[in-house]
Amino acid sequence: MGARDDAGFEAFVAARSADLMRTAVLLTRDRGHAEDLLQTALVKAYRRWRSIEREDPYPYVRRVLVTSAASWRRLRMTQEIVALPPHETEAPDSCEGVAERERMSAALATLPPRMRTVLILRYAEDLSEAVTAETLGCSVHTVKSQTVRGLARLRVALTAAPVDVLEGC
Amino acid sequence: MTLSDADLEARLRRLQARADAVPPPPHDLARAVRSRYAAERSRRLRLAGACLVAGLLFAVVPVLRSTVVDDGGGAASPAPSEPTARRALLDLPPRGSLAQADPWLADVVALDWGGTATGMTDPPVEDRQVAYTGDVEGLRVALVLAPADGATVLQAWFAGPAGADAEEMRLLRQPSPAPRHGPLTMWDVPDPTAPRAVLVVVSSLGDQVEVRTGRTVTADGATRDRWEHVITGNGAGAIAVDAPATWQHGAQVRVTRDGATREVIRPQFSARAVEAEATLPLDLADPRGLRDGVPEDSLELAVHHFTSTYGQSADQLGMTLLAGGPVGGTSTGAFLVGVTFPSGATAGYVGTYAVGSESPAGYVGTTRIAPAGTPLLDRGFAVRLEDVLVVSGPGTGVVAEVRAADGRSLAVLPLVDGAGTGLSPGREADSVRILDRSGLPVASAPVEEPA
Repeated sequence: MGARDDAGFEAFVAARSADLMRTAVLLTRDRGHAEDLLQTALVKAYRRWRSIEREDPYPYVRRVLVTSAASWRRLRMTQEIVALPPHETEAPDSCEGVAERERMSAALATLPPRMRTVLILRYAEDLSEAVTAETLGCSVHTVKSQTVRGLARLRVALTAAPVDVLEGC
Repeated sequence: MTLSDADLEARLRRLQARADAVPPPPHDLARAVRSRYAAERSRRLRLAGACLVAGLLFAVVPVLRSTVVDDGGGAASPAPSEPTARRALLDLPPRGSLAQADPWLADVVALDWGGTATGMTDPPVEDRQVAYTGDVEGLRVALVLAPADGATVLQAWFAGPAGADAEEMRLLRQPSPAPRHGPLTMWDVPDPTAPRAVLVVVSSLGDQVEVRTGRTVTADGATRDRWEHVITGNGAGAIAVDAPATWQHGAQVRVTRDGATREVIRPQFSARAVEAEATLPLDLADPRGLRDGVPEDSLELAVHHFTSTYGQSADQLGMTLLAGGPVGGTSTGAFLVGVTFPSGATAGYVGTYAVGSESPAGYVGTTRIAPAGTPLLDRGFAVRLEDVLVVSGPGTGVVAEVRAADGRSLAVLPLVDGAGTGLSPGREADSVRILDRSGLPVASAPVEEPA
């Protein structure tokens, strides 16, 4: 890859890596894993940079990120985090905020990866149905059906499992 | 109380605010990506020659085996009288087999933290303290800490060959903040061509630490985590884990104290552990000659999934490409990769992709795990991925008859060597019968949707 390509790649990373990182964190619930995921997606993009930079590379990289996250899911990992030490929180939320985040994250973790990803892209990332479908490589109809089923399952999960208040709150 | 869709949507949107608060990625991300790409490329070339040797290694290595490393320095000795109150790691003396080697400690504490290269300011040498140093599994490791703001410390991990001088010690990854009571962890892969990692854990006195070294699938299809003790007593030690580089994503460290689980965390990875993952060879059997029709990225996903979920290499799992190719009349392709666990149980990984595109796989997922008894190539698979149906069965199968729950025949899918992909006749599809040339059924399978 030439210097011009490298400059384009660096500019892209500088401009969009924070957005991609946010998506990665939402998909993984774990900053370390999110960093690994982001780097992996960028390496894949870098391999094909010449062909993808002709247009906006962002949708391509986001798609790599999303599909990698779906396939790299760690079975039950999130449920096994038994406690998040309060002293580790750099910018502590209120207890209610922490509880709400844990409740939603835990409920999302019970959904199949594809369904979870659809909800995150549609709502947390605020993407349209069409862009979500394009990102996931599926039809708008699939996004709609996954959204409906996902919200229904999320409702059940939230109703069935009231959050445990974290120690120290 | 019933939650409305609007409530749920609003709560999902609030997660965005949480993600916005996450610190941005490292400023040298582009450089790190380019380095990893270069390393991956050169290693792929080297690996092409080393694959045969690696394959032999995989073949002779039995089921994942891990060896607890003698940490020296009393790391394995019980400490029944240890205080139960947690002390910050900076308040503890150095631990590890070299903890008493004063000249070495002085050299290690003065090692360069790489601030000049990254534009960061290194902490003053007089503020630093060695928390752990020792020789473990052919490595010399050192963890150096420095005070930071609030409840954190700065951690810098170094490694070199066993017996290394201080000048030979290199940063394993960029220094970063960490909780001051620990546990601090480092998962390193010293040799990217070998399926072996070293985990070092430094925690509070009295902590008991275990690591998840893989998952075992029993003959009846049940999955169980494998855990091994890393350290007891003085709270610091190391273990060597025989596992593919991708297992770093499945590895977990469980810290218990006074009989209660304190936390379960993922270990921190060294830069070369991350690089090693990218060089994972695509070791999968292709008895039906389908590989050329399936994009490499899709196969990488399958290999990555199984090796990172179970902590065993593709070879140990008998990974096999069972079905793959374009779906007639569409621009979509589909694939099915199967594995046979050491117990004989089997499972599959399926996905779709856009034919002729460099885009990564679309829909991916896993099939149910079937108990031992039927060899992988003879097991009937029928997996529906949105509008696509992927079928695999015995090699004598020439067609798959798709049936409704009431037994009606809905469609017939032609098979080659027992495998095929096609359009699914819809939600009514309930099961598949695989028939040979004489019309006799040779296998059947329920139509399943991947998890």
